[in-house]
Amino acid sequence: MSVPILEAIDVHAAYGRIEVLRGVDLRVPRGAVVALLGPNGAGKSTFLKVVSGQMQPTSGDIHMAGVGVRNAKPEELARVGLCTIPEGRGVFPNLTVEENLRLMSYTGVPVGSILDTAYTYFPRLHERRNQLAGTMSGGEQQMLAMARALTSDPALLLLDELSMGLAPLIVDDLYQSVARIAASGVSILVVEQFARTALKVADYGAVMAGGRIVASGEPDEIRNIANDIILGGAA
Amino acid sequence: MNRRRRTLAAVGGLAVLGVSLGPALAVPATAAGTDYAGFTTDANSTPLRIALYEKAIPVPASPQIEANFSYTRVSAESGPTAKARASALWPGDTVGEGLKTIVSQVGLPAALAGDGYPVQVNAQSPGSPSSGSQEFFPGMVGRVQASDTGATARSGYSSSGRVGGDADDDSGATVLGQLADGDFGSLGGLLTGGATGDGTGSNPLGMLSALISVGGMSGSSTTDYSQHDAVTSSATSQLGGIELLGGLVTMSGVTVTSTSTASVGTGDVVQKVAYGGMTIAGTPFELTSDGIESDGSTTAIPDLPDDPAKALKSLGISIAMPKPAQHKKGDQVGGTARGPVITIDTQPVIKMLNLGQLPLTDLVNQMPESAKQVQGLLLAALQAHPKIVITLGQVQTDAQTVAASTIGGVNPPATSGTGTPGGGVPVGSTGVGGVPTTGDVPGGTAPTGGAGTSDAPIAETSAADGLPPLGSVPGMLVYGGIAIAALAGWALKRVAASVLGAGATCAHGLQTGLPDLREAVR
Repeated sequence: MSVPILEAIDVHAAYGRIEVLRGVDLRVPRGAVVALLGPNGAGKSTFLKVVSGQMQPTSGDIHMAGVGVRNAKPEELARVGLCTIPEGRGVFPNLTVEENLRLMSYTGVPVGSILDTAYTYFPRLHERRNQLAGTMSGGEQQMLAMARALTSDPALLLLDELSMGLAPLIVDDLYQSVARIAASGVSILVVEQFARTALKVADYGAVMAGGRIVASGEPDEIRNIANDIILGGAA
Repeated sequence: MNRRRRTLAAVGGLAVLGVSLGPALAVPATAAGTDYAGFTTDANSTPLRIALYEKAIPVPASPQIEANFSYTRVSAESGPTAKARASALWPGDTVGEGLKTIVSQVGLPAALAGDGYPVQVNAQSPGSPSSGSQEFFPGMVGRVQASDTGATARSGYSSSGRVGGDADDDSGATVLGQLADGDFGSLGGLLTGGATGDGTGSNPLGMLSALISVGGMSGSSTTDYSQHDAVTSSATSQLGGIELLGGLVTMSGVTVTSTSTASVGTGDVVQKVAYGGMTIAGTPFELTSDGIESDGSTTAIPDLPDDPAKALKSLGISIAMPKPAQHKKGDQVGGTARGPVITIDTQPVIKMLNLGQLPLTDLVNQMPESAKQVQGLLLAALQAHPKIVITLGQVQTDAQTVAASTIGGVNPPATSGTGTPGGGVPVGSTGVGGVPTTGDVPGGTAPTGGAGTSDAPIAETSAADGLPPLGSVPGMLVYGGIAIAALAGWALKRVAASVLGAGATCAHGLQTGLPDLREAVR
């Protein structure tokens, strides 16, 4: 078995005295899409914060490509190919689409290349390139966030709640984009409440509840388990 | 005038107080040498030791079976505390000390072990009994004694059971001649003891008399720590009238001694192995420090005649004369001395007897299932070929002293009459006027206190000059140590981080650092 691009071993994390992660073990193989599913409050977003270096674990280890990165800072991880698209997209609403994309040139990538990558993956952004990002729909803002991430040439992409506040049809379109990104060799860990949609494009799934991974496996194995675990069967 | 009287009275009072308190406060001192602060001594002896090595015997020790005849042991250490033990037959520490455990583990009634191994007498000091004796059986006596100046253990008996004058026979040469001629029929008598005598003796060694018969033996171990500048441990084993292998080898006596003496900074070991007369296959020898004397000439190398040597080798028998061994490291000294060591490997004999042709294994395999445990033991016994090592005299002595530690270059106060120039504690402050010390006090003559300070608390007398107040030094050392350790740890971490960087390993043995994820996925 090859060394996974991401491996979490017995990761614990807490907000003050409240422990949110209680021993998370998860592997993301190279080039695979892993869907991390679970109900609200399961600790999925916290786990992404820990992986991306925005939050220090209280114990446990994070390995990336077989190297321990426990004390790495977010900007350091971003420079080596880890890219996070946070919940809520994080676009600059008072800048145009193109200005949002141009900001990514601080990574050293030429503007032309950035725009070319973004518009290739998401042609609609080209149509909206002069529109203020804050005036676009939620789906388009999500496309802009994903486009910005792609321009940084990520090797591991962390997607947090891609479907948040979006119509199911838009969500399906976005996940098709996710599948295209994965096909280019980018490893993706996507956190999602809506299991059915995420599992359509995922190679593996893991269900998180109460701060732990309670089930993991192939999408077909996970689908029914996730329905049972996630409150209300929202998927 | 009054002042002079008061001074004289004070000095007189101090002298009286010094006489009365002196012994209680002083560390023992001697006229010569440096006093030791601690010591350990150990000595043990056995004039005859038979060890049997056979893995088929289920005893968790090596050798599996041992018998130390007329065994004595003494040990002492600072305190002083001392222990002495004498045993007519000591089966080794494994069995001797752990008899109760062994009895309980093999499922025998605990009453068999009673209060432990029965054939021994012990003494200890302090405590009781401080002395004792035991007549293990008629003619076999052990005596032990321990006190605050030394300990002694002695044990001895005569075991041949022979009537005087009937030991002069040539049965050994006869047996050897038969063996050399290829007639191994005499081996049966040899193994059963039949070749050793004419039936008039009642050897307490019983079946062992086939291997060895001795006219008498004694062992003693002593330790002496009555002096304050040296300790001594000595052990002696004496063996007389020895016949090995039914008279194949005879010796008139073996005396093995070892004495270890330790004093601060130095030590010495004196060992001696003295043999009496010896005959091998009827040829008389005399062993001296110059070599072996035979027929008036001295031979340096004790070569055996070819035929007996071959016969012994064909029987798996070898004889060695080990040299005494000793070790010295300053005032840690010790030594081991052994007399002749006869090694009997039974494998060649078993081959000669051709036991393999007998259907013993088949017979054992016919045993019923219910006796499976016995069957296993018998099968193991059929495969056994024990090695027997007979040591004719073995002694071991060790002695060690430890010098007193001197903090601030000051020795503790000593008793009267042993002071050195320049030494001396403040007389007035100690309350023991006129008491000199054995140590050197930096700065030469210590101030002499006046009579008015003679009522100083006795407790203060133990405080040596030059020491900072108690409490500040330990505290300073502890906190200073913690601060230095913290500083060193912090510096080490910084250095390691800067030098090793990504080379450091995480808890799972992987490197730590920042991998190039883009390179990793390509």
